[in-house]
Amino acid sequence: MPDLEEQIVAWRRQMATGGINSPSILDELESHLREDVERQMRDGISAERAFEVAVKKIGPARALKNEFKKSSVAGVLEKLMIAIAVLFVAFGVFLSTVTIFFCYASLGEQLIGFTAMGLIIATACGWPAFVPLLPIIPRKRKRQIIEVACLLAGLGLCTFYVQIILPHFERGPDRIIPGRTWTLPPVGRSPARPVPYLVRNAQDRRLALIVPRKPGSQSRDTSIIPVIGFFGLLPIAIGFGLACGLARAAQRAPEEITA
Amino acid sequence: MIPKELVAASAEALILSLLSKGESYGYAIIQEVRARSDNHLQWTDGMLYPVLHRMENNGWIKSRWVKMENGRKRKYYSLKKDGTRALDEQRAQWLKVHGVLTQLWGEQYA
Repeated sequence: MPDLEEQIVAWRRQMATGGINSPSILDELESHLREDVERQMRDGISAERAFEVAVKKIGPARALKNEFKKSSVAGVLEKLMIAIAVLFVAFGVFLSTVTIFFCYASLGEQLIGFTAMGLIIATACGWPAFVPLLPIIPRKRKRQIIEVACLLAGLGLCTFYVQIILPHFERGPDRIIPGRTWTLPPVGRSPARPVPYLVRNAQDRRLALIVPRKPGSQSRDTSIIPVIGFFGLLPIAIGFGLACGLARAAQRAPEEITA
Repeated sequence: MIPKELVAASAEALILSLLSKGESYGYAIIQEVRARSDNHLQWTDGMLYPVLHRMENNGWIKSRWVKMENGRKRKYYSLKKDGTRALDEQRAQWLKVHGVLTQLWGEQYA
């Protein structure tokens, strides 16, 4: 039988998963829960039974979340964040769709590109389901270190992919890297149509945006874009997702609020 | 048992009235309302907190964490000036409803 402290930690986590994310609200509900459990135990009820009754009296997280959302500033902020996230994803999907259509010549390559895009979006949307499986990290300091480590790992992973793996799949006079961050690399093919694309300069290894004048004519550089400016977006997005996921999952343990 | 709609409607007035007697915290507020109503007014415990937070956002009440002797923390709420004004308004409204009902029932059962 799990002891009371473990049950409270699991309950906090359950509430967080159900949408009660604010540590302050969770602390207050936990304080209430403990008071109720203690009072019942003074009346001779077992700890396990007292905990069950107290949890039931506080109610389910979803119902509470809806009540908190009705009036709180947090509710408005959450809606704003969701709107920004939807806009960001829509922009990414638009860019990827344009890229796949213009840079992938065959139907097979386009299908692979769209599948990759779908998988990435599904992974992003499925992230919350993964959160409850993550471990609890009671110490704030340790949690912050892990968040930063995840962010750096995400950055490193994507930089490795873009700088080391991706160039092996590209060919052409300047090792062309079309502007695709969300899709699979094409298999040994240059852009099929005259659309703007990115090139990595052989000398200084920086990226240039190439805008062809017309098919077959000499293209020219229009601007130089630092590597991090363009390809930094994806690693930051992934790293940020990892960090946020961990921060959400890693609820504070009871000993921290009583300290 | 009083239906939940009436319990919800009276929540703010009850909380403001209790806090006008001095600062208190969630669990104590629930226990006091329950005791004073002979268990007829029963909130789902968790539902008190969204109401308290809404009242705090309205500027009616303020809160502070207090460390107890056993090391635990409690969040205490107390009335602000705007809360006292809100309480006066709500008291006038409830007394009006009460007056009309008393008047009607007085006529009916006279």
